[in-house]
Amino acid sequence: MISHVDNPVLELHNLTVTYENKPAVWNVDYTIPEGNLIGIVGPNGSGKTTMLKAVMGLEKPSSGYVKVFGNDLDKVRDKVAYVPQRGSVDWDFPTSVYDAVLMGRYTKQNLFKRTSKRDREITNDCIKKVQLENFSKRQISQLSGGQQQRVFIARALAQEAELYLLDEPFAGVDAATENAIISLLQEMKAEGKTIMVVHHDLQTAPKYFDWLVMMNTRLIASGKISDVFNQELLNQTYGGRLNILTQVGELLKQTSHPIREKK
Amino acid sequence: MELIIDFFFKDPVVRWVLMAVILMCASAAIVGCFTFLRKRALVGDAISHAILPGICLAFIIAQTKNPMVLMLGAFGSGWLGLITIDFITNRTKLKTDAALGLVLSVFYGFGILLLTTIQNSGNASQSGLDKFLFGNAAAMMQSDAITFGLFSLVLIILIFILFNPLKLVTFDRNFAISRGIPVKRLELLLSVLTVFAIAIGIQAVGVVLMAALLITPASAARFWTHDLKWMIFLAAAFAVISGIMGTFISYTLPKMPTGPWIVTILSTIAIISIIFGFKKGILSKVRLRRLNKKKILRENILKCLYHLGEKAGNFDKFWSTWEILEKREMNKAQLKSGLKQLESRNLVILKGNAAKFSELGKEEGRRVTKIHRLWEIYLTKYMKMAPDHVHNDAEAMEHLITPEIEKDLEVHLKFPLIDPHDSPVPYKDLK
Amino acid sequence: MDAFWIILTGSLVATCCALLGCFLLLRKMTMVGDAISHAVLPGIVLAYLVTASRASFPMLVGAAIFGVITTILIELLSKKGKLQEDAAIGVSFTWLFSIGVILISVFAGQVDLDQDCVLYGEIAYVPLDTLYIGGNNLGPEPVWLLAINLLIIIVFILIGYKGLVVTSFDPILATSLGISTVFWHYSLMSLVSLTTVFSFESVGAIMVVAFLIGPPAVAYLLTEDLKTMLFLSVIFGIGAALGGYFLAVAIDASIAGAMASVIGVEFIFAFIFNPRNGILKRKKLAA
Repeated sequence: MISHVDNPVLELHNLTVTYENKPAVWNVDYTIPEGNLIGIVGPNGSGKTTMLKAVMGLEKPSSGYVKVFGNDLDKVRDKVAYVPQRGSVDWDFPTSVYDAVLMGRYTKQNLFKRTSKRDREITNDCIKKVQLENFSKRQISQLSGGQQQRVFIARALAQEAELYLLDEPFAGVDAATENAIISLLQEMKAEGKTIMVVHHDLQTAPKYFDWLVMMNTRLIASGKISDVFNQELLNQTYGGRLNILTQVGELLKQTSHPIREKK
Repeated sequence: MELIIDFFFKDPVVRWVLMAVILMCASAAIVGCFTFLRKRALVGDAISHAILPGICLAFIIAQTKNPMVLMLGAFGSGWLGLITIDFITNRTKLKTDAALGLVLSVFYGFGILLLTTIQNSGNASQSGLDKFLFGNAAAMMQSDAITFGLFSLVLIILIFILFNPLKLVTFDRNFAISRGIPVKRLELLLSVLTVFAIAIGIQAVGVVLMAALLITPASAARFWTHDLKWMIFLAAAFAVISGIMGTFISYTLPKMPTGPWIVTILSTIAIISIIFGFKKGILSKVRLRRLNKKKILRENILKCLYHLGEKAGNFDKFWSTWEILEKREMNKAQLKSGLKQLESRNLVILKGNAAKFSELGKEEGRRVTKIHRLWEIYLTKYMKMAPDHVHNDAEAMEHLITPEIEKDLEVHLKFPLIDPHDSPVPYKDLK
Repeated sequence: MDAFWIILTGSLVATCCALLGCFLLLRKMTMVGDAISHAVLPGIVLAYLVTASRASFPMLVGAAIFGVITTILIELLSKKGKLQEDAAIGVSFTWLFSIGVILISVFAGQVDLDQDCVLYGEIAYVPLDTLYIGGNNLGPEPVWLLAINLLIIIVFILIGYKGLVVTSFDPILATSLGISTVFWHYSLMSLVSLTTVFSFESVGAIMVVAFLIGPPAVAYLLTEDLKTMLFLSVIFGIGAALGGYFLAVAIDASIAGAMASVIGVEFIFAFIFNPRNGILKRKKLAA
């Protein structure tokens, strides 16, 4: 069950990303409609993070391509914000909440310039939006897990993007923070933003999302939650890997065989 | 030549020294394999620097250059360095790399402080302590050589006795715990052995370059084998060869420090291994890639001939090169070389500028075509890809899929008859 | 007067190293700094051979080239050769360093460089190396070179502060914003090799590491603000240079060795008194 849309915000075309020539994301092909809250689900190690990284140009695809707003990422970089997993940075880094959020305002162009007044205002606004205004001067090492996650989200908000990609924003946060984050995301959706969230809790998925991408190295389904959130597709997603696919993957790794023929 | 004979056979002291160097290098390399596999390569670097103050302190206290006393000091401060590294990483927010660098440089600096005070105090018996910085195996005394050789031998024997549990701890710590193996004690033992091997090894290469004697042989060996036993054997062999050559050089040119020569030779072996190693070496990868490319070219030509035959309903027809090129875009020179390869394998019959299948070739062409179409079906059915997206993937996988996977595919897909583009799947029996 | 020049040289080395070291520490790359400081040796020796002079422009070029070769070699061994990174670091720098030492031994007669200098520097001789321009005595040449180096570092950090911080804290974010992590990586590493070369004569190849890592580590334990950390690390670096000099004079030992030892003492104090989990804090909590 893969629904395609016209004028997608994000299009993945036959995307394959490999580690040591073994595909972690294999021929994933879908389109994402604008102004939706989209969940990405799949078991551990099913390539969700790799896929997001490929969208952001952090992993080089072995084949296929990604189009964001119909363009290459480099042309529309300032319209996309990425929130990596919380554990991907060292929270002992000596910086304050304010300075960490301000980093969302950095671009290639203003890197050597002074911070503008507008940047400062936006930063403060975003800190308010995630209810950390009382912690603005606090060092990030002194925050709780939920607060750290909110710093990350505020930083993404500061980017003032159109498309947001969040990698497991609910991992290890308390219920109150999760609720606060989800209502913030819903607000953003109401403003016409598109938000994609890697999610683990199947219980809450139908409540949170309008659209669901289900994957397990390969794409299982992509479509309206009412169309795809059913037992059969969930079984396919979580029911282990396909034997043949695993064998071919191993073979690729062993033989260093090219994933695509070069012309 | 005469020099070499002199070196190996004339001087009895040299024979002892050589024996000691061989054993010292081998023991360091063997212990180093475990350090390497436990991803603690740089810990060895830090410990070897941390040994310097211990040697100096032992000398200041005991006022003797007795190797046993100095070794005791060396072991003590090496151990203290190791504990300090763990302590800093566990008790502060500093990460491992900073803890290593800090211990390495501060211990070493303190050692230099002590060493220079000893030297400047004019103590006549001090001369020779600075040998520990770059090592000078060639200048070792016979009695020292015997002592160090024996120690190294004990170390090697210990590792051989405990080989199996140590291997388990290194490769799968959790499994080892679950089997009730005393992992903590074995790890402690491994640490003791490491510090011990370093304390001995600095006699040959000195504190500054000792890390190389631990890390480099293991790194080089890794490119030739995946088997721990072979890895240890090769690492020891590389280290021993370098040790002998380094000692020989500083024996013939007494001004040359032993350590840097041993390390340079060792590193050269390592670089050669990385390039030529047949398990993981760079060259083996390049070779594999070239072989893959040739195979792909051959199979593509066969498939093309098969398609042409299919269309014409005749597989025994000669096809000219331009007919082949019209069917499939490729470089003309490539096509020629591919056809030559196929002819030498008795897969096609060439006549001037035309080619036709041999029986064997027809079978191969059919097989590749069949895999291509089966994979396309698999992609649409199980990877849920649109029929117009599957061709490129199948183009690559048709060259990869083994007969076993081919069989699995047939069964899994229940012997389908047509692919997503309505072409028939060519089974052998149906023809 | 000699004491003044020696302490000044030590302080300049300490300041240069501390500023760069803070970023190495935050990037968890201190051991790469260690590797570079060793690996520039063959570059320095070769340049000596070519020009027969110290601290000259060719020497800089030679050392900088080897500094970059090290970083590339480490990358190559770990990425192309699939060698684990710590081993790649260990193999590369020991190799280059041993070649450097061999070169020194081979050309012992032609190079005004000995193993002692490599091992612990000759800061005591710095005042002898006077720079004359138009007959005017301008003080020791190394001091001038280090001052220029420090100026470059300060300008680099002032201009590149944002880029350095964002690529250190979250390289993933930086890349997704289109900021080149590679550029900042190599800029920082080039400055580290440059600093190593300038500091080499004074403190030797190994003790540069003490200055690169020690004061930043001390400052890192005491503060959670990057600007304060940079400031404190400079203070502790200069403190070590001062204390080290007087310690060395008192017990007649290597000045560089004494400076490194003082850094060790500073670290022990920082460890005991640091606000987050120092021993004092623990006692207070227990009480």
